[in-house]
Amino acid sequence: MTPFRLLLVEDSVNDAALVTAELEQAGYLPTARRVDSLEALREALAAEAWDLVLCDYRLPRFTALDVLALLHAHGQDVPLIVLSSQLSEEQAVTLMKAGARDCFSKDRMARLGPAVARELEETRVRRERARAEVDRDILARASELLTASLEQAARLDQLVQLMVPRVADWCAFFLQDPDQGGLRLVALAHPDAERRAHAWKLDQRFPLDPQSAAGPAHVLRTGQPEFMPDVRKRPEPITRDAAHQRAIEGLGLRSVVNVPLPGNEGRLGVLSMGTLGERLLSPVDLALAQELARRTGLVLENARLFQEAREAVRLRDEFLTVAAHELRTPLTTLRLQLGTLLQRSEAHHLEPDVVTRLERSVRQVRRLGTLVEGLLDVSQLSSGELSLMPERFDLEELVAEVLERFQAEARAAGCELRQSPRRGLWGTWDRLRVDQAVAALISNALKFGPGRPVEVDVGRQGGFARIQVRDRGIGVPVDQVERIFERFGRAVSSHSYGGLGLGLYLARRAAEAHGGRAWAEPATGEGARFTLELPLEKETRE
Amino acid sequence: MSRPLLVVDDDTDLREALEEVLRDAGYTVLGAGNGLQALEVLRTESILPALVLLDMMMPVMDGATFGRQMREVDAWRDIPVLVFSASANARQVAEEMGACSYLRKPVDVETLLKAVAAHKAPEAA
Repeated sequence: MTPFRLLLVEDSVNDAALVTAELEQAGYLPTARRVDSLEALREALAAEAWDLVLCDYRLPRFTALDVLALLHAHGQDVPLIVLSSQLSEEQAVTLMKAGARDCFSKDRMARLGPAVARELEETRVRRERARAEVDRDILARASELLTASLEQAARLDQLVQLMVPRVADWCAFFLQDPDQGGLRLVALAHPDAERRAHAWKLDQRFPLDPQSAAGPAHVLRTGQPEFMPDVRKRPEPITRDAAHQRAIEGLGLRSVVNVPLPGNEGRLGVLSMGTLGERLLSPVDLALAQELARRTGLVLENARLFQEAREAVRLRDEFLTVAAHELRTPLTTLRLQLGTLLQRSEAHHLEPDVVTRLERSVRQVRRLGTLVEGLLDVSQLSSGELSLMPERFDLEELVAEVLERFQAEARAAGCELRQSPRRGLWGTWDRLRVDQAVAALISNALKFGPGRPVEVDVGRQGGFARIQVRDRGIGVPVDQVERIFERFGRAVSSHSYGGLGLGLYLARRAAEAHGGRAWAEPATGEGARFTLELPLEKETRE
Repeated sequence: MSRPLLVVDDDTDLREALEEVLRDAGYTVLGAGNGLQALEVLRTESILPALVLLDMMMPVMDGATFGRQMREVDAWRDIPVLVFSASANARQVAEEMGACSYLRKPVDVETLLKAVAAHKAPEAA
């Protein structure tokens, strides 16, 4: 027996009984209601949702055409079949044109069963299709809203508006209060301003009890969706608090759906929606609410993570500023003190041994400085681009300065540093960054090619300035030429050669920030050749 | 008597090292541990310094505040300031406060002396 809700427009009680009997015979179990006036019909349409209307053609004060007009005005998708004792072909055509699904004579009742079966099935398919269309539309708009750059509150507010009145009579978001832990109402769509105000007040007066056995707080605790098709049929009250229960009843709830907003670690809140009066929610509505909650949860979670990441970066930057200050200050003192001592020992012709030791100390302090700068740069780089402060200078002069600085270290490594003849090569770059990059290449060459000369060639290649550093050391295996430019990357074991593995990485990042490149090639013969390429024209990015 | 140099830095060891280097190079040097002390030095010394070597991050009164207040006094307005900072944006800071140049910590004796020589005010005729 298939149940359905049947509205009979019929003034004859006998005929109505006949129809019901016929339908039962055909295997149906209609919940039927009979009306015999347009007023009663209007009231029945407003109060309930119907699956089928069966209508006598001629009633005392109106005809089936009036019923069709009323149905049409009401906007409900309910099929209508006309039954009549006498019906001309012309009348039948007029009825069908007006939207009747079928019409036949009361003496051919055998047709009723198949006609009802067909109409119910077609209505079901039509309604499902229309509903799927609504769901698709709501979710598409929700996705649009969720990806729009809106404040969270505005976003949730527009999301709940999407559901009302198409799916539910009211819709709300409760989010977990980050400070107090409980659930708080943050967005609400409701057609009645007074009840809307009532709901906000209710949230203030009765914060949701985390231990309650039903409702949003319960859903938050269990993570399970809650579906109450009809609150009036619930055996137990929603809350044991009588005043609270009265307040809830004051909201006029009928069907309620509560679904959790899933987050990475637990639940962020609850999406709540429901109906008032006679309208009921179905499992299809539950599914839609769950999908909407899933998408919202994802976006809220991302927003939270973004916020956290931004805060972490801020703290890190603050730390770096302090660390830089704290580390650079003692290094400055050390460098100046050692520099003074060295000058004095040279001036007073102290033992060569003392001078050598001081020179060694100066070298080590300078190296310590480079390591500190490298570490600070790397941690800054992990969150973005190097910021450049471009100025105009002669690249060859800068290279000469760097080489001068490395003289002592080169002597210690037994390397001769040779620079190509200088002609002047001007451009606009960040002096500090280029200095660091060149220093990294030289330091690398001295480290891996001790005892052999290191040649530095500065020249022009197309629109680029090129610095090439050629050593005659252990060389770079072909499969490692990229790896050595990675952060902490090295081609050799850290046990045989020290260093943090940051110099080449920073050199490449500095070149790239200028719109240039840095690369290595295993040179013909022995050793390796490293190239730093910087644009000559105004391609330097700020 | 030649005009002195004023070194403003809250790190005593560093300030003394700086003073020593500069004295070795033949300068007269005054020291101050923060911006407020530096203003006091300007107020009490009979000869105005030829250059202020100024640290930025200091307790009591930082470099930027000192720079602003110094510029408000007509007699002090034209004293060259050489920003001496550990911050990565030392150059930006120097530009913002209208300093003649900047040095980034850490620094070599040679670089320090070169910069001081280049930027100190010429001796009055």
